Order: sequence, then structure tokens, then C-alpha cells
Amino acid sequence: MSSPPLARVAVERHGPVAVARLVGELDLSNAIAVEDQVTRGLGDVTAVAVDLAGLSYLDSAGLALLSRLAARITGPGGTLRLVVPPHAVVRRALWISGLVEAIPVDETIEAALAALR
Amino acid sequence: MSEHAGEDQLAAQLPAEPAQLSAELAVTRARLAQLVRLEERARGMQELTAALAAALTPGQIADAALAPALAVLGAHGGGVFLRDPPDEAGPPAGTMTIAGAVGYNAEAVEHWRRIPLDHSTPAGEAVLSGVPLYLGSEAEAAERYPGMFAVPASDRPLGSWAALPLRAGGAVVGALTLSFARRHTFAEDERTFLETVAAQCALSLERARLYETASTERERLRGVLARLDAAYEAERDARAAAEAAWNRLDRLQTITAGLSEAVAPAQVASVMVQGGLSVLGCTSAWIGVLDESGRTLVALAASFPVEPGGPAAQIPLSAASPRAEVTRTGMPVWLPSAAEALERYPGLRAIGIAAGALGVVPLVSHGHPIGAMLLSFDESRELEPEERALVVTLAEQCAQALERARLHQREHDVALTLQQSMLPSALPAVPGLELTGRYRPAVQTLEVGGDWYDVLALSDGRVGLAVGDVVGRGLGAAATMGQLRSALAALALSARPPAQVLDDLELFARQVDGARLGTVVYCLLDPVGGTMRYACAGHPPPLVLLPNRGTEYLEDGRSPLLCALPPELTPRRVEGAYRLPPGSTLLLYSDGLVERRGESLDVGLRRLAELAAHYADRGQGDWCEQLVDTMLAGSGDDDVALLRATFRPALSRRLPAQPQRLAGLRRELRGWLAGVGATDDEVTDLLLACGEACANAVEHAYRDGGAGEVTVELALDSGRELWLRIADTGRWRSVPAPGDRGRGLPLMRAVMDAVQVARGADGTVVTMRRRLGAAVAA
Repeated sequence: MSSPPLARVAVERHGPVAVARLVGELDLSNAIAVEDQVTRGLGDVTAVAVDLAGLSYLDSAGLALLSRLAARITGPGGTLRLVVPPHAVVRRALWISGLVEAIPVDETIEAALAALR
Repeated sequence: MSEHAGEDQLAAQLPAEPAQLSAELAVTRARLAQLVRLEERARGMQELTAALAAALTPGQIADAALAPALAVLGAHGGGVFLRDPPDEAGPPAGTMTIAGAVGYNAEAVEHWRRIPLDHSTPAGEAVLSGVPLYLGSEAEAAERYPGMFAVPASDRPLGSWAALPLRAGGAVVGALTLSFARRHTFAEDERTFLETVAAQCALSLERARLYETASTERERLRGVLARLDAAYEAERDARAAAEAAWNRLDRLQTITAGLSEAVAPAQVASVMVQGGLSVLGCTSAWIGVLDESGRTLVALAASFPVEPGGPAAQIPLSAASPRAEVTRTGMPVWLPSAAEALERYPGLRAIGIAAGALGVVPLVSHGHPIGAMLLSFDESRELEPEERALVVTLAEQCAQALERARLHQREHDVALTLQQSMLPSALPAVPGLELTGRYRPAVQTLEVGGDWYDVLALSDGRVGLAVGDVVGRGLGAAATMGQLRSALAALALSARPPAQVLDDLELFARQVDGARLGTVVYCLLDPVGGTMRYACAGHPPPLVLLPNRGTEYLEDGRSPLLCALPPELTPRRVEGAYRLPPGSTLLLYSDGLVERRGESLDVGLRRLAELAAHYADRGQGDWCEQLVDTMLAGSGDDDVALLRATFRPALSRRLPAQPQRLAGLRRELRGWLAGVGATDDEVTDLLLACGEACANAVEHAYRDGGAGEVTVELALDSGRELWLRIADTGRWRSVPAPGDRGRGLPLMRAVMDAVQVARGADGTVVTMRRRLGAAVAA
């Protein structure tokens, strides 16, 4: 009997933009697997919003994943934005880690999509 | 030309050299001067430490502290002030009094002898603010403290001032001031030096105060002892005289024997009442004494039931009763019949003892009536002169025995009060530990001894546990015990290792009368993880009660009794290490608990292990009282100190160091934190900190082959501070690479109040603290 996965990944396309929604908990045990799923789902899309509203845990392994993802996508013609609502559980970890200074953050998906178009 | 040219070349080089040289020389000189200064400071500190160690009174300490400050810094004068005890009549901010001054004239010292703290002086301000004060120039001093120059302190002009608070035990106890004839800049290293001098001075003053308190108390107790001795002697003489009269009445020996066994006044009276019935053939007997007010007679014992608050329980001295009358007059009353008795004292009817003849005699001690004895007989008759003489003799005997019992009781009360005042009034609240301490005087003699216990919460979160035993009995032993306990507490607070604490305690014990051959056990325990180090100076070994009912005596860390050997033969003390498993109990005890006459110590130790395991297994309540009762049943001629520490981390989990275990641990932590009323934000932070620490351990274990374990322990103290400890138990084969295990550290530090990482040969221990802000939901 296997337990349900710790985190679920859903990638949706909105025209040229992709939204990757992470739900659940992101830690050392699943960071690599989640990163693989997100990367596969994104394919060659270069405008990406990662929605963290549904995450209830994010540790430094998860933060490292986000920062690798941003480094790969961001560049000439590529942008990655994070969606973090004001009351998101993972907000504090993102701010303490300083990641929000390197990756643009929006409070809603709509705002992120508007910025990416 | 060529010669000249050569000289020119030389000349061209020469002028450059002196300039360069002098610059280098200046640098060298400056360095040298700095070195000399440093060396002077170091020597100054050494001399200070030596001088302070020899100083006993505040005045000597002031002189010892001021001398090096003056010599090293070139101050021309200085003073040490001590804060006075609060006085309602004095100024609200309090006052301070000069303890010693150097370099000032007598008039100035007298003028500044006692200063209100709010009187605008550098010293007063240093005391109130607790912050050192440095005034570079007279102008600055005159502007800030206009009152200071009312009386010139010395012939020399005033340049600069320094005033440093003296801190001891978390409070400012006074100030040290220095004045300089010239302007003085107070460089950083001079400030450090001065603040070190002030700190040393304050510690010595505190030690002097403790010494003084202890020695005043000892003097007072010596006085009490001398008075008691005198009273005992008087009583012995009186008894010798009485005994001569009793020789012909050997049937009374049962009473005498009974009296010698009786310790408390009520026991004495009870023996007398029984004796009166059996020896004199009375039908009833009553004995009472004056209470503390001297206005009421209170029953001590009677052969009939005494209704509390009724006429047999107490009567006013002024009452028209034969018992009150004989106590007032000191003369016996003999009544041949009930009829006569009731006629003279109608009140007697109320207690219903009037059957036949009555003999009512005063109890007289040292010429003063202290109570009355009433005996009634079943027939009405005049009592024979021999019978009367016998009753009077019995009353005398009773009065002497009562007096002795009262003195004994008083000495016991004084010593017990003293003993208890010297034992901790309350044990500190230590998260993860249930603590109880018990002291029991010797049961048979009611004598107190010199056993003690103590629990010290150290600033790094560890806790010091001590039990000691001083040789001897009574007030002297109790006073010595108090000194040893204070000294150990002072030594332990710096979190020194136990062996070193005992080494230093030995040095102290050599200075204290009666401390010789005392025993001590001292444990330094980390209440989050249960690790401890311990050392025993001639003391019975600590006992550990394991959660599975197993027991273990900790027999490492043993060294001789205190001051058992001359200093040159005394070995350095050693210590043992142990780790208390969660749920286990550490018992420290004095030998009175396990020693019985005519029995080997092993038997006693085995009995303690069995009984303690039995009680510990029966539940969480405080079973120390029952344990002492059972252990002492049938013996108890020594006093006993007992200290129990049960290690109960609030949450304790040991799991394989695998990433997939982290989520389950978080789930459990989330539930536990919600249960103790942590807010959502606090839960998020604590999960993050714990998760990072665990992830580090897991990552490491993985890299090194995976078979490790990680232990997580949580405790919440009564101040709602949460303690979190994460330890690797893996077998690390490689030295961690630089920067390893540090990735989550900034996160941990950001969300916790304190984070400590200790990396040892057998793993890494992360200890974190965070105060929870939310109140517990009622």
C-alpha cells in the first residue's frame, strides 16, 4: 500500500504562457521528482508562472528547486514568476531565503499572467 | 673625483636613512609601548586577582580593586561605593555608602561617605543606569554633575572621571569610581581593563556579603547553642537532686524511663498521666501548661477525652479553678472530697472529674509556675503526707522534663528552620524535567544534620543537580551545609565541568570549619537530550531508574571525600558521562537513606534500587515521600536528602535518517504544536526550523551511506519557551565538507530565537529555542 504523493504538480497552458501549480508539501524527499515533473510539463515554454498558493510546506530543498527552475528559464526571452497570495503558508520561507528578490512575485495568477503576456 | 663621487653616493643615501629609521623606530617604540602597556595590564589583573582572593571585608576589597586601577592607568584617586539596603525613610532611589577610597583627603571621603543615588553623581548614575560612565574632562564633569566639586577631593586638579557599576547576581550592588589629574581619553583597552576590574571587584563584594551573612548567622547560632547548654546543665542538676529523693521510690522508675524516651512536651505529659494512674492509683489525671501568652492553661495530656475548645482543653489563668489557682500561686491545693472541691470550685462540675479526693499541684520550672497537674482519687480522704510528697516530686519531675522537651523542641525548630531556609525554597522549572527535593531530619532524635540538595538552572539551558552531606549534627552542621551549598552554586553557575566544580569546592571547603570529610555528588544535565556528566566526592553513586523498571548505579566519576587528604596528595577529581533515556529517573540521595547499622551498604543500595523502581513504576506522582518513609522504616537515626529528576522530553522521536520520513515527522509535530496552543505562524516557523535541521541530518546520512538515525526532542517550559533538539546518531565516516549542513541554517536562525550547532565525533546536535507568544486556550 503506497501513501498518496506528498506534492501534486499540474501544468496548464494559457496561450504562450504556462502555469505550474504545486499543491502539498515540498521537501528533500520529493524536490527532485517535482522538479522533473514541472520540467517535463513545461516543455519549451519560456513564460512561466509557478503557483505556490497550495503549498503547505517548503524547505530549503524546495527553495533550491525554485531557484534552479528560475535560472534555467529566465534569460533572453524567458521569464518565471511566482504566485504567492498574502496569506500563503510558504510566504515566510520565500522571504527569509531572499528568493523573492531574485524572482518576481505576484499575489494572484491573473496578475502573473498579465505580467507575462 | 672618483673618491668624491663615491662619497657623494654615500651621502646621497645617508640623509634618507635617518628619516626612514626614525619612522621605523617610532613604529617599533609604539609597539613596544603597547606591549609594555599590555604586560602591565596583565600583571595588574594578576595582582588584582591575588589581592581580591585575600580580601575579606568590603574595605579590603575596595583597596585591592583600586590599587591596580591606579597603578596601571595612572589615576590619582578612586573609590568603591556599596548600595545600601532599601530604607523607607531614605530617598526613594536609595543611597550608597563608601566602602573604601584611595588618594582622597579625609574631608572629601567624609563628605561623600553616603550619597543619595539620585543626587547627580557619576557613581550614582552608574548604579542607576548600570552602564559605565567615562568623562573625558573636568568641564564635562562640571557641566553634568555640578554638585561634584563642592568639596575638593584632593590637592591635585581634577581632569577626568570614570564610574563603573558593580554587578553581582544580576543586580547592581555599587560603583567603582576613578579620577585622573589630567585629561584622559579612556581607550578601548583601558575600558575593557576597568570593566574587568569592576566585575572582579563586584564578585568579591558579593562573596564578602555571603560570608558575612553566613558568619553572622553562625555567631547567632553559637549564642543559641551556649544558652541551650546552660539550660541543659541547670536541668541536669535539678534532675540529679530529684533523683536522690526518688531512690526510695523505685516503683517510679517506669516513669523516669518513660520520660527519658519522651522528646516532645505532649509525650512527656502523656508519660506523666499514665504514671500518675499506674503508680499512684488515681482514677484520672490532667496536665496542662501556660500557652505563649502566659494567660491561658492549655491541656497537654489527660486520662479522659478532652473536647477541643471545652473547659478541659483550656482555662484562663484568671479562672476560679484549682488548676488556674495553683499556677497563679505556685502552691498545691489538696481537696479531700468531691463535695469540698465543688463547694470551693463550682466550675469543676463542668469537666465531670470530681469523684473523690483531688490533688492539684503547680508545675514549677526555675522558680516559675509553667502549668498544673491534677490528680483525682476514687475515694474521699485526706492524702497522706508521703502521698503528697510523692505527687509534688512527680510534678517537679514533670516540670523539668517539660522544660527540657520545650528546649529540645525549640532547638529542633530553630535548626530545622535554618536547615530549610538554606535548602532551595522552590526548585527551578526546567522543561523536560520533573524535579522534587526532600529533606528529612533524623526521625528518632528529631535532630537535623548537614544534608542538602540543590538544583541550578544554568544560562545555557543545562541544569546542575547536587546532593551533599556535611559531617555532624545540629546547628553547626546546618550552618556549614549552607556555606557549601552557596559555594557550589556559585561554582556551578559558570557551567564548569563537574570534576572541576568539585576541585574548586575542595579549595573552598578547606577554608570552612566543619566541611572536612563532607561528601557531594554533582551532575550537569542537558534536559533536552538527557546527556549528563557527573562527579562524586565520596558520595554514594547516583541511581538511574530506567523506563523498563531496570535500575543502574552510576559508578564512574568517583573521588575521595572533601578535604580527606592533604592538598598535595589530593588527586584531580574525575567525572563520568551518561545519557538518561526518555522516561528515566535520576536519583541523588545522601547516605542516611541507604545506611543501616549492622548492615552492609550493598544491602541498602539493593533495597533502594528495588523500592525506587517499584514506586517510579507506579505512576507520575511525587513518590519521594513514600520512598523515604519505606526506606527508613525501623531505622532513621540519620537525616536524609533526596533529589529526583525524571527526564520527560515532551516529544521524543528517533527515526531512520531517510527523506521520506520527514513528512510523517512534520505531521506529528504539527499536531503536538497545535495541542500546546502554538499559532499557525509559529507552527509554520517551527516546522521549517525542525525540517531543515532534520533534512541536514538526512542528507548527510545519505551521502555517507545511509544507515544513520536522527533523534528529535521537544520540550516546553513553564515560561512557554519551546526547546527543540535534533541529533544525528549516524556513524559519520568523513569530515563534512565546508559549507555542508549549513544550507538551512540561515532559515533556522531567522525563525528561531536561538540556534546552536555542536558537531562532535559521533554526530551533530542542533539545539534551538523559540518563545511562544500566544496564551494557552483555557
